[in-house]
Amino acid sequence: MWGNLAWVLWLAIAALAPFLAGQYLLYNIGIVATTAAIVSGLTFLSGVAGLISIAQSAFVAIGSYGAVLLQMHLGIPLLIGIPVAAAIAGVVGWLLGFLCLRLDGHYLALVTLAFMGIVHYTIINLDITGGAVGLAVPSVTLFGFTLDSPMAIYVMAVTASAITLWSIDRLIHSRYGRMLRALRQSDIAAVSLGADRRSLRTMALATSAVAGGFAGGFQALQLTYLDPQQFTIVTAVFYIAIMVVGGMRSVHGAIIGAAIFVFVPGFLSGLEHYMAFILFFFVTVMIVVMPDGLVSIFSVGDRLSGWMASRHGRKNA
Amino acid sequence: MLELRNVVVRFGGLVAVNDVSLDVQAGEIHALIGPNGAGKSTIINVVMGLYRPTEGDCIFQSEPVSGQPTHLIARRGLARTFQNTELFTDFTAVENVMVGLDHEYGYGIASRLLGLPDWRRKEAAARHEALELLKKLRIEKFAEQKAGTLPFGLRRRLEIARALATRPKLLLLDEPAAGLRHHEIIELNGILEDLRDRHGLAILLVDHVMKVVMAISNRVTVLNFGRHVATGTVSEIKNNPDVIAAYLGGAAGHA
Repeated sequence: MWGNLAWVLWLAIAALAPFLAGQYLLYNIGIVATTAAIVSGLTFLSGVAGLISIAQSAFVAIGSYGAVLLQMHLGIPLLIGIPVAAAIAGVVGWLLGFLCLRLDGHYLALVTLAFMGIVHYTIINLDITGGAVGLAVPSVTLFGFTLDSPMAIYVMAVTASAITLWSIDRLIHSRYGRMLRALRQSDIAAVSLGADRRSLRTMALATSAVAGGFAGGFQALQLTYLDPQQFTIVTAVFYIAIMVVGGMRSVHGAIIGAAIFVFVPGFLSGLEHYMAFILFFFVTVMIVVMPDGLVSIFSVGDRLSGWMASRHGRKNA
Repeated sequence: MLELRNVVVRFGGLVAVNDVSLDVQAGEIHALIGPNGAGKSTIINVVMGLYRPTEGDCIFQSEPVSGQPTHLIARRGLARTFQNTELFTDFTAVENVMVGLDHEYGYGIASRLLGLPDWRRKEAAARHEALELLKKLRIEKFAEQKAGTLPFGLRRRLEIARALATRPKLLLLDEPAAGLRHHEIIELNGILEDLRDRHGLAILLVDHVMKVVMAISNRVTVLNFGRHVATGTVSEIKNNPDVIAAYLGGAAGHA
């Protein structure tokens, strides 16, 4: 029930923002949406499947650079190029999972860390990607119209993010989500019931890559410029931090986490130099105090009734 | 149905199972007993493909299972429970069983993303069948309760329900009666006999609890220190001098 209410709230904010918010706030709400969509891929991979990836920025890079390069060199329109680049990110994610024979926690974390490094240095060292200088993102054109106004970009980015978040939410509440959660809780029981651990986990990695690539492509439209410094291990760790702070079991956690990481630095702009320290201190506090993330504030009612029930049960025992 | 031929399992220098042969026939409850460390659980793990036998073969329905991945062995009609229960504790009882039904009621990703009728129908059918299985184990009252909050005896039964979800031909039970109270054991016996007699299931039952083994087994195999001691009917085993010496001792008379 909380899930549906939350969806109504997010959609209301997204729909009303263009009428109520100024340009700066509108831009930031758009960034929250694409960031949340990128992080929702991690929610599926880490929160649901229990695997750690330090490569989400790499898939974001494949999605955004891929779409821009497809447009520049093959003339494929961005609105087609972004889904294509997201599919490429998915194939790369699938291959990474397929090649990484032991898709267990630490192994995957290390492989994705290495992969992140490879992608970052590839971008810096290739001419086609603009090297360390980066690339300007061209404008989207549709039926002869150029869609480069802040409003048009907002509408495209938020729509794409909503599709991504909604899809991940559905996957979490599907047999795939159930099997991945089962594998996370007891891998030996799940395989004994016929769960194909390797293909399910590979699918989870590919899904998170598609989400990162797709939302990343639309985030490139918002940022208008691709700087290789956006696609590093540090940003990959930021995505993990966003997921942890917001809550890693649902896409709503990704949205809340993204909002905090986008807006809090704005409020604390005087403390720029300490921003990473403040945010990661906050992450540490969250892990200790609220391991299910900020989103768990909304389930206080459930927890309270669970606690009452357990007390009641003890009294009767 | 299930046949182990001269199976040896070594972990480094330790011989956990030493040249054990065993056959479980269709429609029987075959008990595997022996003191702690006799290699009983190891045999279940070998059958399910968690360990590979160092020597020997493991054959199910005249095809070898050794060397296959566990999930494929499971899909061929073998299901198990665990000595210390391995439930998905965050899931409700009915969700636990639905994990076992996943293969039967599969639907594609697109069908879920687009909300097609296929998804709705199969989820509903899986839930319905899961509830039926809970009923069969007489725990349908707890369907919506988290597995982690169930008392021990019910957890064991939930594991059996979940194992049945894969529609096995042979059920491997690893100490299903350990820690159960007297009335729970009587009830468990009834359930297992029912599975054999009405559903034609074969069961390989690993247990210490003589109130179960002696009451419902068609045949019993005794292991000691990884070696085969004897196989026979309950009364043959009770009177076998090797068995009495190795394991049952004075308790045999009271069992």
